[in-house]
Amino acid sequence: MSSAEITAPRSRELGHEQSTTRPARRIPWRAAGRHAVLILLCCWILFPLVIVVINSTKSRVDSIHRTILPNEFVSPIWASYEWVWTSFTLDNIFFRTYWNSIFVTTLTIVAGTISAVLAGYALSHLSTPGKTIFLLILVSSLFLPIQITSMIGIFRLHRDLGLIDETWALMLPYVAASTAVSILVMRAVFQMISKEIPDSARIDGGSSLRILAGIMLPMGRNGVILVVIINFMYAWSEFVLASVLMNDQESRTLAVLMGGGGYGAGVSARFIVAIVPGVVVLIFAQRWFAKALQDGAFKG
Amino acid sequence: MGDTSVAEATATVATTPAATTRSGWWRTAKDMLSSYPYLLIAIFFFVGWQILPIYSSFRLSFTDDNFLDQNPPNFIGLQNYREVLGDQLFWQGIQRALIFTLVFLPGMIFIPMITAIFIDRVKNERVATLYRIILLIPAMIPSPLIFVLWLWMYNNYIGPINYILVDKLNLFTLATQPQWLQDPKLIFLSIAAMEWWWGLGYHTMFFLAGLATIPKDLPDAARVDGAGEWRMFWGVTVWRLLPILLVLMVVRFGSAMAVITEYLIMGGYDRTKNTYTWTVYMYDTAFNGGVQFRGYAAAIGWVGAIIMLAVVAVMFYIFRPRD
Repeated sequence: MSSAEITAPRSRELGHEQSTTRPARRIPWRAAGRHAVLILLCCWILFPLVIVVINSTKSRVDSIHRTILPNEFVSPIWASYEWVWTSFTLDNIFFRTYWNSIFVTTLTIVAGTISAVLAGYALSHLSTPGKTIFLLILVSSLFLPIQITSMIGIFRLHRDLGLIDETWALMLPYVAASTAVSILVMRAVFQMISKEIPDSARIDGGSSLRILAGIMLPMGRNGVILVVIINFMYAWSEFVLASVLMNDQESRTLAVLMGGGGYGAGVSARFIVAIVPGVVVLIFAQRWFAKALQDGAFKG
Repeated sequence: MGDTSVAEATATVATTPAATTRSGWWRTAKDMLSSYPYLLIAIFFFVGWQILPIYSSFRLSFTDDNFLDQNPPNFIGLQNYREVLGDQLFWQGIQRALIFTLVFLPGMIFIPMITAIFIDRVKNERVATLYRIILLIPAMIPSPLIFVLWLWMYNNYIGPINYILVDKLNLFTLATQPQWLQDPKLIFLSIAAMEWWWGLGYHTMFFLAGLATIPKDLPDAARVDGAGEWRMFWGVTVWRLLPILLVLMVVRFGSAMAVITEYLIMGGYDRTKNTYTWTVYMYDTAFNGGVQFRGYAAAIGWVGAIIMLAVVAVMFYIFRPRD
């Protein structure tokens, strides 16, 4: 904004002088070019999604034919969505897995965020013995392709514990998978809070848990939101573990079901319904997400 | 709990003179009591579902464990590793993953960088937010759905891309149309383009965060001094973005080498396909059909991981801060 304030008066002045010699308004070619590129990129992003929306309104025959705009739309135009909606029962496999995904993702977000907030606090503002060792292990775990190296081990563990086909149990590896990043983010955010603030509260007799909940957490709000988003994105889209650990169709997640493919109007409508939660989260969280990244995800 | 002392404990623990070791010990124990409960949940998840599984798959890689027989796995020493190192399919898988990474990395880093620089210049806050939201949409779609979406896009019959190229623009015929996911020359480019589509907004956010650290009056001052756009870019912007660029490069190298879901959904288990990389080979060996040699699969995973770590270490060495 400040750049606009600085340049605005000057350019107006210049324009005034130039108006006698040159045309008053010049087209800002550079800015126009930048917008053209950005709009093109947005079109690229939206193109496949628009295609799917169109597909979901085609008649059943047209939706599996080689056209973009159909000869005939379904009537009414939301018929495919109605079909998805009327199958809103738990014995319907789409909504069964949809529910499973929401269930597992919620568990992961809650457990992952609590775990990261507590640990991030301990590793930043408490005098935790062995702090450096904990941090070293967390950072180095980021560079190992853990998904690949732990896959077989997790399968054996869950088989031995009898957790195969237990949908809730997916949260265990999910929380673990984003633990390192989440803790490092929370630690970085807490570290930006001056030590004097919790210290003075401590002298006033606040317990460390109350300091965390009452002072640190509100100040580190952006970090919490970033951690929620990280956990959401991982749990909502994980595919490999969900298909290895869940043999039973009923206990699988939405990602695995939709990953199975297929095409046509009905599947397209399901697709749109399936991406709604993510887009809603995005529109609400976008502002904080940007802020949190600027605040300190990099200082970690 | 007498927490007033905790504040300076970090400093004192390190500098406590030898004469007061007893109170130093006491203090450490007290610190542990007051801080480790906070770490308990994280340790439970991290040890239980990261460290233990990694350890168990490491131990497994020295055995002949498989799925079918019920016998306990036998320790066979380094035999799995010897076999992996001589396994043509494994090395081919590593090579394929490397080629994909080389195709994938430049677009994943530079397209978002340019985009961020452009968005950063947009004066109107609402328009900038709109750009950001649109570009971020793919980041919030579950990855398997993205792969299915692009399976539709690249489809030879119902896919809109080939429909436009063949039926609308008449650039190809049905016989010569690009086989996006079947042609071995095209498949990595097709998958990489999908990844760029997915990662554009997400990575742009990181570069935008970096650009936000440039003081707003710096470019103006430079412009008043007569610096052109290009001098500005090379003199100021690039240096601010370089650390982010290097971090993303290392992180994305890691994820590109270890890609698996994309290949499973878009390529399947066809060994002749380029998508049959070392990760798919491991998954195929461990969980698919037949005998399921878990021990051998674990060894594949570990050799691949070690190769990746070696490359990451080299990248760190090259990118190390030199001041």
